[in-house]
Amino acid sequence: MTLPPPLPPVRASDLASWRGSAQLRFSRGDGPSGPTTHQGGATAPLKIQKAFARAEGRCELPLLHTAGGLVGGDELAIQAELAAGSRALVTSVAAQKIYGSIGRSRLAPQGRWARQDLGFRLAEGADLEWLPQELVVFAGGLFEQACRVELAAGASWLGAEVVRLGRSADGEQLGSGRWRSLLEIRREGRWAVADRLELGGESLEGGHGLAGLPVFGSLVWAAPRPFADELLEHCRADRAGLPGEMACGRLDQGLVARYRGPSSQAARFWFTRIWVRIRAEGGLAPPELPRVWPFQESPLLDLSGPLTPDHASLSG
Amino acid sequence: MASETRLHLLQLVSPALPVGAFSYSEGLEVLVQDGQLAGPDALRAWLEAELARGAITIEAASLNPLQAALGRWRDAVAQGDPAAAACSEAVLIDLDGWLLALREAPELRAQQRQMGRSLLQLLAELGWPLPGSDEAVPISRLGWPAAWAWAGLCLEIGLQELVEAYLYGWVANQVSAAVRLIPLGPTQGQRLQLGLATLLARRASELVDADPHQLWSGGVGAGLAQLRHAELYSRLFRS
Repeated sequence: MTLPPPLPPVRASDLASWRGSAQLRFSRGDGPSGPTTHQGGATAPLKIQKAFARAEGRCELPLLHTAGGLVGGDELAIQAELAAGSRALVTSVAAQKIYGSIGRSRLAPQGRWARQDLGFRLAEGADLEWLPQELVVFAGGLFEQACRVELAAGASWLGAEVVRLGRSADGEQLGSGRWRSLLEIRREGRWAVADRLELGGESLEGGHGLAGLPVFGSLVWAAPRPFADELLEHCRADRAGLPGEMACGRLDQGLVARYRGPSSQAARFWFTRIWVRIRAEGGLAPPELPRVWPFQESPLLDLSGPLTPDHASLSG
Repeated sequence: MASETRLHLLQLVSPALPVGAFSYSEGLEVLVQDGQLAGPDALRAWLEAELARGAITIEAASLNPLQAALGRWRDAVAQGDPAAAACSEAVLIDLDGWLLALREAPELRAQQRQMGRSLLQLLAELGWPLPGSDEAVPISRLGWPAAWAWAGLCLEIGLQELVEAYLYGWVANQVSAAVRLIPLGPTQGQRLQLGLATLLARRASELVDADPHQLWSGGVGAGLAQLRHAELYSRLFRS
């Protein structure tokens, strides 16, 4: 099945690219649960939306990408610094789209990469949850993300990302597009996590790679302290009722969970359930789902209704 | 290659090398129990995918910089230059830590650490302790690729041969695990190893000078299988 080529955002010229950035600084008010506030700014097409104050002083900050997607050559950079003891949740207002780049331009027929650079620096005892909405890479799209995290002692970083390769709800595949994700987490200068993942070409097929499935998800929690095996058992039980292959394991200090399957909603539901477990592990209040998330039904196990294998509402 | 060096290389890739490689399947046990690895063709496709774009390629490409850092460390210690020694050691520790951090499954990291420790212990007892360690007990924090690079330096094996042997040994160990798990006839196992020789040689020559920080891994299915090993009800292997 072939789709009409999507209309990317209007640009002044063939090679005009957008470079947007956001610089965020979070700091905590007085007291053990003093509210975390943020300073900083963003340049178009990134925009910082109104923050919400959540339990335990956590600052929930939605980022808006006003361009409606990335075309080849576009670059976004998001940097966040969290002062000691501050707590934040950063999410995105909508799913991100990567438009097809290969064969779209006479000047660069081989395509150009869209890039996103993320940098997070957490001081002692700081707590950041990086939970953007789904990424959809259209056929022929090229996307590379680099995410670098520096943690002080006792800092907690949770990141969960879900990518859909091709608008699979409409029968589209990634084609010659590629998705890359670099993740580097260090704690006090020592390596905690390193990922250099690339999906495209042959790795889209076969059990060694994505096995012909459209959705990949990764959750990584760099934990502030060791935890009991019970947490992993709970996370495994949380897979109940969700389609796809899901596995999790212990990092030297933390947790990794991976999803491969048909449904980005299933991946996000599982990660949301793990998020609930991680909050409880830290003795924190259960998360309230960000207002900008589009879930029609609760992702939580004890409340959720039956799941269908795919959801057009999330597929861009 | 001189005969003596060639014999050293054979000793290094021999299954008799006491590093416990035979106790690891690196996810194959999960695949076999799931029915995803039914015979020699599926195994061959799996091994070819890992050799083309798996984490093993990043490790193989790291042998060159690992050995360079180890060599500078050894020379600095021999020349009594503690500042240069500390600098080279820090480069080595960073690269080694990065390689371990690339493995998402705890059982894979435990494997790399145990095999690295065993090889360094053996080399120390044979008269090649890591630089700066007086006693025969080496620093045990290095993983398998770093220990392999140190073995190559001690036994004066060329880099190209060392990378080839790293990949060859990995394939041999995977085939040996598959012979027990699938099960595969020993002749089929040998045919598989033989059939991969051309690919192994080509990948070794491509990877020996490749920058590991520019390579990517497409093995998300391998990572999933390795993570799921901890959930198996009955296990023959430790990964």
